[in-house]
Amino acid sequence: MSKKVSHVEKIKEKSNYLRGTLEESLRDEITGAIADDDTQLIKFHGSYQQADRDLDSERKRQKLEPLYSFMIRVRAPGGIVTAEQWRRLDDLADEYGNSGLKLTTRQAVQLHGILKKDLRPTIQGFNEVLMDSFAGCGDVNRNVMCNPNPYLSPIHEEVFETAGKISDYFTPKTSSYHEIWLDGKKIKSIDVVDDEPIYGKTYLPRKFKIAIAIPPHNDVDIYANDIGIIAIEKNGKLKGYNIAIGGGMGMTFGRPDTYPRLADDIGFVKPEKLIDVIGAIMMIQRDHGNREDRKLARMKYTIDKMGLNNFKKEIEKRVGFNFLPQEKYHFENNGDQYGWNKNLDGTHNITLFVEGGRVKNTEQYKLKEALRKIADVHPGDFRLTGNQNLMICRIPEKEKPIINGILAKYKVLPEQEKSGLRLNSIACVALNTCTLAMAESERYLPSLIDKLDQVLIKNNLEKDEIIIRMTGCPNGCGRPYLGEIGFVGRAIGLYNLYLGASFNGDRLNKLYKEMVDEKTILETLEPIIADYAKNRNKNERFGDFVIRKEYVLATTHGTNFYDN
Amino acid sequence: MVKQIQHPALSFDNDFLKKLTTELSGEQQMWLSGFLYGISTKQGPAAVAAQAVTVPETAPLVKQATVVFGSQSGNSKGVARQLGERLEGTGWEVAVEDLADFSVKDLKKVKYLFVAVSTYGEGEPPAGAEEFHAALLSKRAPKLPDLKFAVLALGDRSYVNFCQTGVEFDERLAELGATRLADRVDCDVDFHDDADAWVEQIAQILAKENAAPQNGNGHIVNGFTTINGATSAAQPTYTRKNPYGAEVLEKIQLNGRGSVKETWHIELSIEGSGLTYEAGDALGIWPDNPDRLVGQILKKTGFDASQNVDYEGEMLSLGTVLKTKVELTNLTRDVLERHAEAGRFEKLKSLVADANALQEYVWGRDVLDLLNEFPHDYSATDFIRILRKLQPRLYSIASGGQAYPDEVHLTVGAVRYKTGRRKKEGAASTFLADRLAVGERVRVFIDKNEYFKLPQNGNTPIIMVGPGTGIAPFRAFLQDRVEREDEGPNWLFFGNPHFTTDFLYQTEWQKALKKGQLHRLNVAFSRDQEEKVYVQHKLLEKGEKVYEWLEQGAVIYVCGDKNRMAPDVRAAFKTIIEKYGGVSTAEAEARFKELVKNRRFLEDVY
Ligand code: SRM
Ligand SMILES: Cc1cc2nc3c(=O)[nH]c(=O)nc-3n(C[C@H](O)[C@H](O)[C@H](O)COP(=O)(O)OP(=O)(O)OC[C@H]3O[C@@H](n4cnc5c(N)ncnc54)[C@H](O)[C@@H]3O)c2cc1C
Ligand SMILES: Cc1cc2nc3c(=O)[nH]c(=O)nc-3n(C[C@H](O)[C@H](O)[C@H](O)COP(=O)(O)O)c2cc1C
Ligand code: SF4
Repeated sequence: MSKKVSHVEKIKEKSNYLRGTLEESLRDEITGAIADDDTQLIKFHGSYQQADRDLDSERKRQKLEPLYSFMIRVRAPGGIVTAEQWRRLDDLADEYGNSGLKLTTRQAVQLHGILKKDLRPTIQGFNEVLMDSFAGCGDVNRNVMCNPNPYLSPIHEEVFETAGKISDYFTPKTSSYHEIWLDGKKIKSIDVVDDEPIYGKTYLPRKFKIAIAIPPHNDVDIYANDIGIIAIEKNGKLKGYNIAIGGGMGMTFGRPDTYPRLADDIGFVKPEKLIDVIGAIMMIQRDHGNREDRKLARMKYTIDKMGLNNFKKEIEKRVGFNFLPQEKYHFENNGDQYGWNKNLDGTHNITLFVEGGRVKNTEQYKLKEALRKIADVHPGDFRLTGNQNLMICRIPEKEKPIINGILAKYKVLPEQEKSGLRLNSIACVALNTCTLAMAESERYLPSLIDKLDQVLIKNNLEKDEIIIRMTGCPNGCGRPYLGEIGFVGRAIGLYNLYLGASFNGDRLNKLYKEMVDEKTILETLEPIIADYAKNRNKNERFGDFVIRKEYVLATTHGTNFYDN
Repeated sequence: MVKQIQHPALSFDNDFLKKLTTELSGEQQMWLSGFLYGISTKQGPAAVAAQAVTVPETAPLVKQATVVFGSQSGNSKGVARQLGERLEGTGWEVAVEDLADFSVKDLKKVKYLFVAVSTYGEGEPPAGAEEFHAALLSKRAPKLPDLKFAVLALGDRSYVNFCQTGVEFDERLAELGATRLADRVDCDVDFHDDADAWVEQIAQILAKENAAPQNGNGHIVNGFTTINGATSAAQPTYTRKNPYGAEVLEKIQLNGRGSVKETWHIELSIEGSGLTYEAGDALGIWPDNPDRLVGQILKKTGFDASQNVDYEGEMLSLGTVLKTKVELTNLTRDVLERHAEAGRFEKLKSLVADANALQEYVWGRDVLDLLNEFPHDYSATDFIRILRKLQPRLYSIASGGQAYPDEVHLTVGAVRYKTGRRKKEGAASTFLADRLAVGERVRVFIDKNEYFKLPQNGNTPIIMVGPGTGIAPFRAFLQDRVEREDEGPNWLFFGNPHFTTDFLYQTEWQKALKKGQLHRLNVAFSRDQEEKVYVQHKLLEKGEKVYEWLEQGAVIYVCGDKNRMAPDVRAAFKTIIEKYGGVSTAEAEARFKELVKNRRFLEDVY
């Protein structure tokens, strides 16, 4: 290869397995930031350096550096958090964070606003309850997603375990996380020789994401992942997995060679072959992925460059067997089923809508306190959904009234009586913490939905489920290209409006209008919604309707995302 | 020349001389003669003088007087020099000495002694005069029956121990048997008129004195060379009494959101004013009183703000007088005395008599409190007469005079506090913070600080300890070190409550570090962890390195809080000397004193 590898590749290379100068950076008391190169490395440890962007210009004038702080992404394998772990996260958010918890689109919990000096105590704090943030971010395999609903299927337990196994198997092996954040001295004195048998010292070219879903629910949006795994059930038993590869949402404005792309089905594998197949896929990406341009480094581009078939053949070559033909399956939706339901063992779950995934206390709504009260008495666990929502799971019959009582007292239950649009909304974090945000998202979408709700009410559609997603930039953290209505921030107050994704996450949407402000958004959507109310077919989804009525063309593959 | 070299050590044979004169070219000979001459004079004027001049056995009947001063910011020194100059050409030979370089033993040789001394801390002498003060007040001080003296005490009436050091000198000299030529004069901050009068009075007295021969012989006269080579700046046209109206260019609240502190960075223009300053100087500010307090006092007294009153010969509205002419936010002894007298408040009188009680009483109280607690019906004219004249406040200049000759920057901590249900605010600090907008003008003057100055030698390392607003002069120091292209290393210690909100001038320090202009920076954010951490802890933590710098001749500067920080920092330095110098506590104490005396440990604390 004649081209120069990207700067991040060099940083990884010389980092001595993700150590870099993090220790020195943590010791530097003159700045709340860490060294530039270390900002890349700390991601592998599950943390991002950020700044309160609301205060940037004000502080600059005050001759203060930006208010640097860190986001920590705490991994919850399969999205499960015990009551004890919840209590700890709740405490840590108060003690060191900005006092809120962010439930993410990948079943993790983020703490925001952690000052550099508090990173260690925070990480040690959740380590004590057996949680970590390692590989929460960075160019490695991320937390493997899995449907959180135990009641839905007899094979859930098994699939859930498999997700955990994949996560563990592909977690980096370096001891640097332990050394830097937990009890460094001990490990150093043994003088461990570090090694990464799977990844090697430059890890993967880019982040790598895997999700498993059990049909008919696609609430983890498997097609948005590098590897989407569909568990196939036959007569109450796990038969094996369909494999789909090459998903990813991120794109960059002004670079048509970047595009969101959904994973393509490539065939079926037996349960015992799953890890080998995943390993092979990942290693092909490791060896062939683009290491010069990070914008083209995701596996989706590697696949489109090699050709899907060639890629598939390369997998088969590496594992030494061929894929079996794809099994039939059907996804109905990619949203969450709210309210109470019952598990096979007779315990109960309740799924709660958490707007923007933000668990915090405000004057009007003390969700965080409510959940804390529940965590104090609840014997079961909490589960995070892929839609930034929360389940309280395995509630014994007799505890149900207690939980209901708390939810009622804190007005969490009425919060569930929202429009179908709001209950199917996702907004990424964006301002004020995300360094990449170009526009508001989490802080803005609720008020936009207030206004859209009025339009829906006028058209008698307030109970209809319509998927609406917003992100503050084109990276796609809220999977906006899978929204029946999608908004992607261009600049403060201005968004690209996308329409026409499917209701179950298997079709991308398409750009409808560029650079629209709120007024234009409302003016644009009002007649389309009215049209939908009047002219839709029976059970026709909004995303399908706008295609039939030719508001937009259907996007059939990432490579034709821009074709109009 | 050669002939005079008769010293055995310098005798060399003719061959050598011949060689020198024949083998060297004319040019080389010229150079060598110059070189040798240079060497001979390097031995110092005193040595040369001692060899060349025979000291007369008996002193001529010169009239000799000694003027000593103990001064921190230069006021007393100025008066001492003024007296020296006044006596020039009157037949008196006058030595002006810094008490830092003067010992009690020297007193025995002196016949006429004039003292100008200020008071610091809580009634303590200025740092340079500490040793002399201690010796004079000790039991071992010599009797001084032949001495005639007069004392001028400089001070500030708002301090409980007004002119304490001057009082002590005056009383002790008399106790030791010396004769008072004139009653002591105590000067308030506005000392110039009183000082001028005193100088004149002394000159008159000496004119009538018959000269008496000095004891001992060969008393060396220092003349009027300035200390540390500092040049006396040309008197600016704008002074304390005639302040300059400086335009506010910029105002920035430096503390981030959520801070418990409120610190203002203020930039003023002095362009075209002719005012000049050096890093280490302070700016005097004439404030307006807080409107709220003026209003409350008018309401309490029932006076009409628009009524005209005679204030020091000027007809002004009462509102104007209260706002701009008198102290309202501070209570001082003189005011309490006058109020006690007017209302015959016995309780207040006994309070004034007890220094500790007085100090405790005035802290946090203002004129309204006094009227509430000791109500008395005044006429408007009588009321303003009991009040103290409004005093200017000093602020360390935070910009370098070389880096910013046309501007003065300040770092001002807003004074706001509550007693009971009353919210109160400091006059000057909130005048700057709240009542003065960009584009408006404020009356200012430069207050020179003779000693708190960068070392003349640019290679000298400096350690600056400036927590809180104490950081101000060090911003100036660093700017001027850079401007002067000084090569000596700079080390700064800073502290405040919280890192995220209270790191004053953070980005400037970061830039200076990156550029290699600031070499070390250590910070103590007291409330960022369980245990409180202050600058003195950071100093101790870096003790070994600090000691190394001291050994390399570093000058230490401390600025900021007088009551808690300064003593703790002093103690820290003593500990460092003891620990890393490997000496006893007493020896460390002595070495520290030496540092102070040599002006290598300098404080500007308030
Ligand atoms: C928290 C979360 C959004 C949320 O509101 O829930 C999130 C937040 C961020 N994402 Fe994301 N991403 C999150 C899910 C996603 C997803 C959705 C998914 O994985 O299903 C995507 C699209 C799928 C994909 O990967 O393509 C996604 C694609 C990105 C990208 C674009 C990657 C690309 O290939 O182009 C970036 C930027 C980057 O990596 O350079 C990014 C970067 C970021 C960063 C870390 C910004 C940064 O790099 O400085 C955001 C931190 C904001 C903050 O203040 O917390 N995030 N990010 C989600 C955390 C998931 C987790 O728990 O791990
Ligand atoms: C050489 C020198 C340099 C200085 N440099 C600076 C500088 O760089 N920056 C700076 O900010 N200041 C500096 N100061 C201090 C400054 O001069 C003023 O004293 C200070 O700003 C307060 O003035 P003021 O008029 O606002 O308050 P005033 O109106 O004088 O009120 C002060 C009075 O308020 C009361 N008080 C204050 N705080 C409290 C409290 N917490 N509780 C109860 N009562 C209280 C006390 O009675 C006190 O005497 C310096 C002082 C000197 C002598
Ligand atoms: C920190 C500080 C403390 C002071 N303490 C006293 C004091 O206790 N009593 C007093 O009369 N004057 C006190 N003063 C006022 C000075 O004595 C006065 O400003 C004097 O003019 C300074 O003269 P100098 O420049 O010769 O040192 C104090 C001044 C400062 C800055
Ligand atoms: S989509 Fe963009 S703005 Fe939103 S969280 Fe991701 S990176 Fe930040």
